[in-house]
Amino acid sequence: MINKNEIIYGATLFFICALLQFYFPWWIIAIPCFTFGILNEKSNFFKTFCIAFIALGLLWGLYAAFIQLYTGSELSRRISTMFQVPSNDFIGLITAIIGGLTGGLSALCGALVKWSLVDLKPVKVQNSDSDDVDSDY
Amino acid sequence: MRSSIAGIICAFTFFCIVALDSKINNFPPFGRFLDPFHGFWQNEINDDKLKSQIHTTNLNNKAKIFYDSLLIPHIYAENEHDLYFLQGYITARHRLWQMEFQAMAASGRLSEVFGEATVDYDKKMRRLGIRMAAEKFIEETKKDKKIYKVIESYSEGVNAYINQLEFKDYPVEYKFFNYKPEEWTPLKIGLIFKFIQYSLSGTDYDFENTNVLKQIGQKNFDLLFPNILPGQEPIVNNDSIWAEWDDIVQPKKPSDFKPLSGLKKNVYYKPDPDNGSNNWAVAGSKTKNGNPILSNDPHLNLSLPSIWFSNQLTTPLMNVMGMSIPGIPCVISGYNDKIAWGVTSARRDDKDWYKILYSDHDHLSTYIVDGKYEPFELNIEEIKIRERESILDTIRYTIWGPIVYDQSFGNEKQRAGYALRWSAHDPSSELKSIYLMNKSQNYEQFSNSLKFFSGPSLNFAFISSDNDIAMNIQGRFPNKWVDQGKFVMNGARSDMKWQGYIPQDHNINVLNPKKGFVSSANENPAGKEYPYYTYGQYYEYYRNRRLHQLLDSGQNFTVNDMSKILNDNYSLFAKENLHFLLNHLDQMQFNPSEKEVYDLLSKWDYHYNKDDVAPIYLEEWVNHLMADIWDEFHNHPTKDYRLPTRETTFYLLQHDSSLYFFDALETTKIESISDIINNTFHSSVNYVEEWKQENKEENLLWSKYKGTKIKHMGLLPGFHALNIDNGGYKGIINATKEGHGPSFRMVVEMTKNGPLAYQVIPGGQSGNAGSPFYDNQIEKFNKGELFKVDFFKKDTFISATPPEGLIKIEILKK
Repeated sequence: MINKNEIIYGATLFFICALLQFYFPWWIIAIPCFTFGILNEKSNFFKTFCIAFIALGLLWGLYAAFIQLYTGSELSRRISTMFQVPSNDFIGLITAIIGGLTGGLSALCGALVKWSLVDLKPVKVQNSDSDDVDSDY
Repeated sequence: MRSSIAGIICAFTFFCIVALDSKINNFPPFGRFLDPFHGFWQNEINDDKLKSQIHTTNLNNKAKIFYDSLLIPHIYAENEHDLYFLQGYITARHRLWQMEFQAMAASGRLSEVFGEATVDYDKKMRRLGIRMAAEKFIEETKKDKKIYKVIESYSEGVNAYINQLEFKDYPVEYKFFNYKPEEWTPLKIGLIFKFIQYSLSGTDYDFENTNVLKQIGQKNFDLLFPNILPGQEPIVNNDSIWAEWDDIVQPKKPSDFKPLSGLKKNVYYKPDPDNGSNNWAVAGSKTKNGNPILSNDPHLNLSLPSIWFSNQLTTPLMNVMGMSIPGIPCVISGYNDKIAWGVTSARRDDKDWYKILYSDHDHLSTYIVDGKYEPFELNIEEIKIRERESILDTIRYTIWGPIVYDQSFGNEKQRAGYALRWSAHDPSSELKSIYLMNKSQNYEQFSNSLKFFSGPSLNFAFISSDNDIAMNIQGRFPNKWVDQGKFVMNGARSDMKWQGYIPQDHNINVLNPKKGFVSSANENPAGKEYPYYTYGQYYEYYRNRRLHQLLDSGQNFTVNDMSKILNDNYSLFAKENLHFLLNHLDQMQFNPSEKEVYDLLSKWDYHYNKDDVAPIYLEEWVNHLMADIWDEFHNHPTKDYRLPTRETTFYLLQHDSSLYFFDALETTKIESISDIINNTFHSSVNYVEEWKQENKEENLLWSKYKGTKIKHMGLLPGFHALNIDNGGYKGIINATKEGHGPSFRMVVEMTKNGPLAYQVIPGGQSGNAGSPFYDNQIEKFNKGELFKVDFFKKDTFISATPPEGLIKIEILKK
């Protein structure tokens, strides 16, 4: 089930990324997504990935679709020939997927980093020197 | 454990982002390229809506720009600085990538963008000395402050445009190939000019000629490669003034002159030998309205973005419009309120090769001229290659010019070096000529402005509102002895050099001839009566005579008639040779499909129309025939030979059928002409049958078979215009070949009240593949129609009410 919070997270990501993209190169989207991954309380990796993937996929896909509708999409038709895909809609789809993957992976990284930080602290406390010696020899 | 999983995934994500931001092999940086906020998507919404405004503080006074419905900018400025500044700015706005690309190509820097694939091309351009020529061109231009100011203002304008760009505004090609526009410099204007000069005088056959000569001897050579064919109609036939010149210096051929052996193979890529044009001017006496009419269509490699950029340049003191080349200020071929002019290539040979005798083959430090050691002037070129280490190439300059072919270029095994003497390397100031031409008000001013035009040598057709028509064959032509520069010359003898130049007064021109028209189509400039040697690489034999037929026989010409002539698909070659071929066929041997082809060809009206079928069979037949006859020379494994032209081949077939070359070499039987004609007819019909099998879904029509394509300059798939539905072919006035043809068509009628102009380009005004103006003129081009374009008067710019039908008006404040 989709949680209300998740929609809010997604929408927030969508708008923050959109705003940042006006001022920074494309890879800037990795930063808010990564931060989201860290801040997201429930560390369900799949969900974190999906939220960011959908938010960024929608952002890139919708903007691309909007440009296509607005202009008659002459250029994306040519680009679809260039990439040998059947129609210009595929170019929009690829755009959405690339945006989504970048966002999703970055969020996943954030979540993983948090997860590993949580993990490491107790490990350092529990593991005594002897354990290390055992495993090394 | 957890941290390593996190580490791996993070590293993977980081790697993905870096990869998506880099160009890998032939793929663009996907993330950067597809990003809808900055990537190619942004190019879809730029340009055609023309949202951008010119923001600049560099103007000295106010200015106005009208964009008409074809996206042709009509620029009005109060002074010349502002005018050329705006020409630079606006040309860059629509064609920046193309300008930079061509300047890079000319200076041998493509590998910085395209990597190893273009290294050989870069080496060649550097060795041809194009950069050196451009530097001299700019140095020479600097001597005239006024002209240099034009160059500076134009460059300033291009830079003003570049400087306000953000990544998202870059032309899409930069995003695809992942690089940035760099600063524009005056040198780049020189580079582009020399690049054009190279494309017009780049085809020479000195090596191939020499190889043929060594193989078959002088007598046979002259038979297969006559300087002028019987029946040829030159641009100017026996001008009576030639006999009156009493100060003619004809250089003497050194008595012991002997051509040396040339480069055997690996003569590198050359421009298309059919680079050429048609132009003609018809006097008022032959037109319906009594006004002179000018027509012009330069044949070049068809490309997108279009080679030409149409614009109008107006100040209170000047008003000129027409075709410019992106990267070069002023108008190259066009019209102002009093005159109009158009150009074709004169194709004179101004590019010769000298074999260098090294004094020492190991170090290549000196060479010998007249028994004396001469040091080379060394120029070490660093060719930067994308994602690879740079390579260094040493170019040795001799008294003749740069050594193009030596051990490190062309052929590792060869011991000789071949130096290039090319008139493009001499200082010259063509821009001054063009600048003055743009302002000329009558023939006298026009022909005076031409004096500064050294090369590429061009035939200038001219009309004026004084009802003058004229043709000037202009260039700084080396004064050569007979056969000088046709073959590789001995670089160890100083008497092999060019003995001065043909004086400017002795260049060929005609003003208001009795026949009421002048025309040129890259044919021989003059007949035997002209007292100077006028060898050219390849002179046209059909288009010019067809033009003469049409212009001679007609009266009361209108603009519409001119447009029809520009699109004339009639093949004089077919007319003169088809029935000769058909008569040799042995009809008893026909199979049913050959019988059909025979009937088709016998009834044909010699037009290469797009829906015709007969030209397919004739072209293939002639191709097979030529390959069969000249099999001695064709694709020889170790030597490049020149092949006799079609016209010479058919002249010989019809007049000297016993020539031993006609015998195919592989067979033991001595073949007669009839055998060859019959054999090649069978094989060519089979060949076309095979094409039909392979292309079942296509109709067998000339335009489909020919398959004219207009390719993108950066060869980006998807950016080409394929399946150009047009007739014509080489040797036909509508010279549209597979990837080559009329790069614009223009007709101008000069009324007392200013020009009425009509034009079309196979492409459009915009260089942005996302703009409808990228290729919007192709459809009309195919149909053979022209757009009527507006030539605005100065008053129109000043008046408060702008003309109708504009798509954008920009008013710039100081």
